[in-house]
Amino acid sequence: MTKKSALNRRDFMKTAAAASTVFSAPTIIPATALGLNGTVAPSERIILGGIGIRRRGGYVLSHMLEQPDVRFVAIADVRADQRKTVKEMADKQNGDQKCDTYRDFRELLARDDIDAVLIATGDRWHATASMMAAEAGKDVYSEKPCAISIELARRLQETIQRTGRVFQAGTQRRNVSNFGHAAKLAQTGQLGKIHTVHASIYQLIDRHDWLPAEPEPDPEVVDWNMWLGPAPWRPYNHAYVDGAWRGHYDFDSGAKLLDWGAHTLDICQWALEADDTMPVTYEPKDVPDDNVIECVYENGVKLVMRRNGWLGLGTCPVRFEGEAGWVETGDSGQTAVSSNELRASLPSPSSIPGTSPKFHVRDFFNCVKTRSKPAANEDVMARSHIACHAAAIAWKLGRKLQFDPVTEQFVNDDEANRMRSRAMREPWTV
Amino acid sequence: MSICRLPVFFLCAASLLLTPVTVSAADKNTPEAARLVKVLNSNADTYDKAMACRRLAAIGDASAATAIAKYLGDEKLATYARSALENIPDQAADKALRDALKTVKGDLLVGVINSIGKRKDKQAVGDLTPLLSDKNTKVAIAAAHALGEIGTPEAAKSLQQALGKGDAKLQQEVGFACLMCAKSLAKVKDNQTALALVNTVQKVDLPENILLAATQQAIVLQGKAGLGLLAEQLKADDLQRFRAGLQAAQKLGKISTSTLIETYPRLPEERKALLVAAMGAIQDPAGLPTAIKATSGDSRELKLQAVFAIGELAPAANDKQQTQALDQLLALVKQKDADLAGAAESVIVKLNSSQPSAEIEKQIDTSIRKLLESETREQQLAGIKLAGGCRLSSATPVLLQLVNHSNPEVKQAAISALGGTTSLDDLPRLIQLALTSGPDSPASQALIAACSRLPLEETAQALAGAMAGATNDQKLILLDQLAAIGGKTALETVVAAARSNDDALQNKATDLLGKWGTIDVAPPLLELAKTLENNKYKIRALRGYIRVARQLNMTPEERLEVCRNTLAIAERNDEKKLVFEVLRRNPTPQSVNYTVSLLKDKALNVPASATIVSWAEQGTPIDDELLTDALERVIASTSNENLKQRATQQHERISAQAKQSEKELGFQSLFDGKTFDGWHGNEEIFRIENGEIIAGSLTEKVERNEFLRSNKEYDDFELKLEFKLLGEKTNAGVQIRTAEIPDHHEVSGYQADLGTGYWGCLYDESRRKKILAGPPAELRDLPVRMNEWNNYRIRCEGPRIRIWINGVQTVDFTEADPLIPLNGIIALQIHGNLVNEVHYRNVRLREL
Repeated sequence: MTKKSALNRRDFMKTAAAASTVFSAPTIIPATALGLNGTVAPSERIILGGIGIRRRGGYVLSHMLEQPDVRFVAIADVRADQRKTVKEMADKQNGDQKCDTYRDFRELLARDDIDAVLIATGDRWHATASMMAAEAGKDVYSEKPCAISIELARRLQETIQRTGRVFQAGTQRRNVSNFGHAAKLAQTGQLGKIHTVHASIYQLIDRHDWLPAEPEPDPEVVDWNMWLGPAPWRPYNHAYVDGAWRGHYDFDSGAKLLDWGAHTLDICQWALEADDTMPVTYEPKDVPDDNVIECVYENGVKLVMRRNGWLGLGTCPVRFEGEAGWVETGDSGQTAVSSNELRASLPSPSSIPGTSPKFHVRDFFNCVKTRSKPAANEDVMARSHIACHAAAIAWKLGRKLQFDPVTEQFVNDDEANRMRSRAMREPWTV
Repeated sequence: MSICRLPVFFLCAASLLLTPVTVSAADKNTPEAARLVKVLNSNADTYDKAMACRRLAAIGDASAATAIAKYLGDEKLATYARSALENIPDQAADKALRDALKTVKGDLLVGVINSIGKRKDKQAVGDLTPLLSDKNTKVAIAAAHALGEIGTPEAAKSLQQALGKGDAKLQQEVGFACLMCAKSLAKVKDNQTALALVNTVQKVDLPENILLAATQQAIVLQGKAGLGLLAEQLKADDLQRFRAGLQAAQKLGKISTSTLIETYPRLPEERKALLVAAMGAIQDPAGLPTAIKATSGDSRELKLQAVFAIGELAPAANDKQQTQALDQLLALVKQKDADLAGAAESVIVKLNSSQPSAEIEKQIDTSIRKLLESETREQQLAGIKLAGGCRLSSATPVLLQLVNHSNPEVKQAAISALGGTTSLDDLPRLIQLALTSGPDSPASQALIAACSRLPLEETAQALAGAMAGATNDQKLILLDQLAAIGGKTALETVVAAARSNDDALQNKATDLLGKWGTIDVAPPLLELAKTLENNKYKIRALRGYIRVARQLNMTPEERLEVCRNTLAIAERNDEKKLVFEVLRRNPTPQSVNYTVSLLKDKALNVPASATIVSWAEQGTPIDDELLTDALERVIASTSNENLKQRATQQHERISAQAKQSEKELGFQSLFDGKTFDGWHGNEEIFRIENGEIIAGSLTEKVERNEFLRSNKEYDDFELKLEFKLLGEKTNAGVQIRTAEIPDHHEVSGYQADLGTGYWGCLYDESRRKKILAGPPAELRDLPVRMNEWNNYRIRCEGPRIRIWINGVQTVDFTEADPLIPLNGIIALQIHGNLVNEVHYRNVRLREL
């Protein structure tokens, strides 16, 4: 683990954000100052398009639409109703009727005027669509999990680098102040030498069944073939399209482990300043009514993924334990610490919940302009996604696995290695 | 729940139930991969073949390649087949894919080419090269990408020759493929070939984004030698090129700082701003002087970015540089431009919190004091804000005076700053200030800030102490504060308010308790739900109580207790519904058993059935057997036709899955349902009826312990059976790893116990004669369905013994005594000296 400056750009963004609550109204640091987004000429606006936007995507988009230097001009979605909803949302914000709609996102990517895209489809599409967007010269904000396999996470990272694009994974907690402060307590040694970090995960589930076949809908209403995209063929059932795809192997990432793990393991990596590595062993533990996976870094630091035993600080909790104390925080914005000394350093409670991408989207647009790497850039994403996938594979196989962070291969476990990648359905190529 | 997920995967991979091709007994010992190949060579349906391919992806070898390759031309199965071939390490997979290049067409051919690329099959370069000019552009593009992936000098040559040919889309993709290839070459340290390739791309007429990507790559590949090319990009008029240059600089890192510094003066203001921001991101303190200089630039945007860059660079700089930066920032905080001053203030706060040297800390403190004493309004305000931001507690007395300042701006700033500076000693004064200012006032905000960082219990006590003399309105403010920090004193105080006689206080307190963040709120909420007189608050307390189980973290047992307690006192359907929501979200063996028990209640049968059906439909980690059993009970009990039909559908699916899973795992029946073959024991006591083994009766006492013993001995195994015990006081059990005592009715060894007071315990029969492990006495009945069939699972692995009743684990015991044998017979018991009857059925076992 290289020792990077604990006080990086992200840290600053949060200090600034925190400062604005310490100093009450009038706000000292307006978003404009943080954002390189003062009054902008129309010609310098970032032109944005959207691919596959429903609930979470709509929430992220609402924050993007608020940015004065961003204009959302097009939505591509396989569902007619979603195309309509998003168009209405954008048109209302833009005060016109000009948001274009596409069934096939390739038409959207072919447009020269679009600088960046928000990708918020289901997991099965994220990496493929992100890579196609990057090759089309667009910067990418992709919801997590950004890649459905170890191989795709790696390939996505390489594609972003090769094409010289800016990439932000939708792991917005990297830009939420209470998570940042907890990470900082670990990074700056205020907890003493860190020995264990904890990442919350969902109940794991790995389904391989096919739901009963139903007649395929009119592609103008729901384009099933396009919905499936790079996932293997299976018979249509409306439930998948309505959200029941979760937990199904072909559509979900790591038996649902990445649903939260992509956030929480990522925050642990951040706290440990381990963005350039990952744990080297992954061991599923037999704990009743939980999915405990114990991972260990090369330097002996333990990372425990678990569902139960959290303090109740909201969803997506993380906990860092050192020889001198611990900190735990979650989406409520509240932070618990082991001592009054640590409490003394806490910033005022954040009014921004962990689910809010407010600062995360701004970080992305700033980087579109400065060409810097956003907080959840492709390198950060690849490492934490791959570690999550490794943990999920260990859980599926029910045995301890050893992983080499350099070659990104399991050591002496052929079967595990062969679970690192899946074929992409033709004709999708990246 | 067992941690081994493999069976699930495995089961799906060979779920042959719906097809005529079942695995025959003769196949039982055939290796798994060979059986799966048989599936592919049979007339099994699409699903089974898909799952066979999926499993072969993980375990197949060369011998499976031909069978899999047959499906490369099948539109439905091609992806599954390619997943398998992509992952089979043997060259046979490469050959199968190369052969398919000649047989499959169109999109399917694209798929095959992708798989070849993914395998980086060097031998395929010759076959792929002609495809670069295929009439079907999709095929040509796929070939280009595959060659890029393969990334050898030969692949590079083919791609280089194809550059600039074909339609625009193809040209573009070949361009990217070249960059891909260059990356692969650079990875194996062939930078020269890589660079040559990238330079060629730069010279072709391609869309700008590819050319810029190529330029970036060329700069990064060359390292220091690329700085000239970098400088060129940074000087370009075209904004995209300038940005690509900035990105390349950041990829190069610190070695680009000098180039950035040199370029800086020649740039227009708005680009200077971007460049300074990039310097901040590179985090090279050598850029600090430029950033400091930039704060006196012309445009506001540049100044702002310069301040932010200082925030990035100063914390890692030396004291001298930090002092310079600080001076500049202090000059800026006095500015009239609020954004700029604010940015500078926040950077000073950041520097202060970055653990600077004592010298710098002193400088910051002194500067803040000086500002505080200043006569100029702007400077005084800056001092106030900085004192708060830097948490300068020694400034509190000054700030408390300024709270009464005539200028409203100063007054408000001072109040806010107290949130940062107030210490525990000064807290009562801030509390009083907040109480006299009212809710949502700046003082109230400041109090929140102070309370969130001061020692928890002491702060709570200070707040609770202020309750005594406060008006009712002020009490509301205090309650909010207490709820915000939580903890023991806070909870007690808010609960007391909920019990008060004042409606406003009760309203506030019950509302806060309903949102409480920790589970220690559950007991008082239950108590309030039982005892409050006002019905509105009573219901609110009950809803708050069930919310704890829904939203906060509890053990499965605690959660079920909340469900039970809620159903016991809930009068309205609304609250009962919430209970089922909790159950639906938390599918544990315990919650399944509990929900099953609710089926008997007519009023609750429909929601309980719906909960069980939804678990089955959504997929849960619940043991198949337990879920099947629950669905059976839904089918038998519900009068709702829709639920019955859905339950039936799920039951079919899951029970088939369960059966297949057991079969694949190697479970074998130990009891044929008709004879005592394989067993011996007292056949006057043990009898067979309806496929069940029965012992004892409900009319006469069994005189002494009797055991039906297996002829065979087992060491490591997993045993499953069903049991039903009848009688007022019952006792039976399953002996494992047990020894016969010659010519005696007793046996000696472990018993997985059953019966009144002993459910699920591990007892040592005729040996240590005591309970070795088991749940606490008061919890032993919980998983058991009295007078009905129950599932029993016993797993012995080495010294470890685990037991589950209806999916709920009751024992996890590891034998410490090395002299105790870890093998022996299995025996079914009926206990002596009791009037009771035991039924056993469906006894099956797999050896581990």
